[in-house]
Amino acid sequence: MKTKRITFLAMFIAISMILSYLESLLPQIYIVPGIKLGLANIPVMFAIFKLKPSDALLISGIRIFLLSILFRSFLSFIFSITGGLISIAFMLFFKKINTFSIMGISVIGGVAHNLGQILIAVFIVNTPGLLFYLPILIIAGTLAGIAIGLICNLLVNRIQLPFPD
Amino acid sequence: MKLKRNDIILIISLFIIAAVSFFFIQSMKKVGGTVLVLKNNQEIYKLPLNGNIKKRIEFDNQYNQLVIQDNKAWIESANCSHQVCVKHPKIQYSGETIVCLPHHLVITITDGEATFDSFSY
Ligand SMILES: [Zn+2]
Repeated sequence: MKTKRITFLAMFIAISMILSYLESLLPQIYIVPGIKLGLANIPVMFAIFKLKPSDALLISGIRIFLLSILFRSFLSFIFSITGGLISIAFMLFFKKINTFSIMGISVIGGVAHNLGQILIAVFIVNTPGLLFYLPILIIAGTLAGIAIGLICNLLVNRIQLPFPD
Repeated sequence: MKLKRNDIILIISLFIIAAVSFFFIQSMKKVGGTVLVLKNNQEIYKLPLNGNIKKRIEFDNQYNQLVIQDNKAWIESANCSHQVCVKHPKIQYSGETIVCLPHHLVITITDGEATFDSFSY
């Protein structure tokens, strides 16, 4: 069982890294810094609903860590990890209190990710002017959350895990 | 797909919050008078927004070409990795900011009066 779980998690991390790569190939719509679709969030959300909270954290944390040491700068690591962790924390909390369906939780994750990143940016470069981006970041996070929510809803309902746990 | 009532309420509320904060920010916008250039959070240049200025900001082979014209400021070119600062729209309102994270460079508009800048979060 333990080996199975490790293999499974490794596979999820690999999938989420590939999704990050695929997303980087999509044409970038530049409006404000930090907006993205968040395809890599799909395996994380799947883990939230089908595996354990710690699995979701592991998948996201290891993906960001690996991508950062392979391709990115330390600064982008700080941004990604902040956005990622805040997003997962909010999704786990709202999953726990059972107020929303997958769609609502995905939207919360998207918005929390964007707000987390802008707050850390305000802190790092010490420019409250970045808060001008707030409205567009909320809208972008909501729309991305809806798109990811639709996909996750399909996956969570259709994929049966190979082990009962 | 089954949505809960709460999902709908959440999505609608987020759109309302975005719209309200957009109009709030819009109402506080006023054209600034000064362009501040900060490197590593230290002010290095203070330039008039109504000037006609081209300035190459260069440190250790990292450059950003700043242009001020028609009461607007923007980065014309730079040799940073993501080019986010170059793609950023022109700025003119107090508190508006262009950030070049790889170069630790911030271009921000102020007017010396109380602005969105002094709005503490
Ligand atoms: Zn730049």
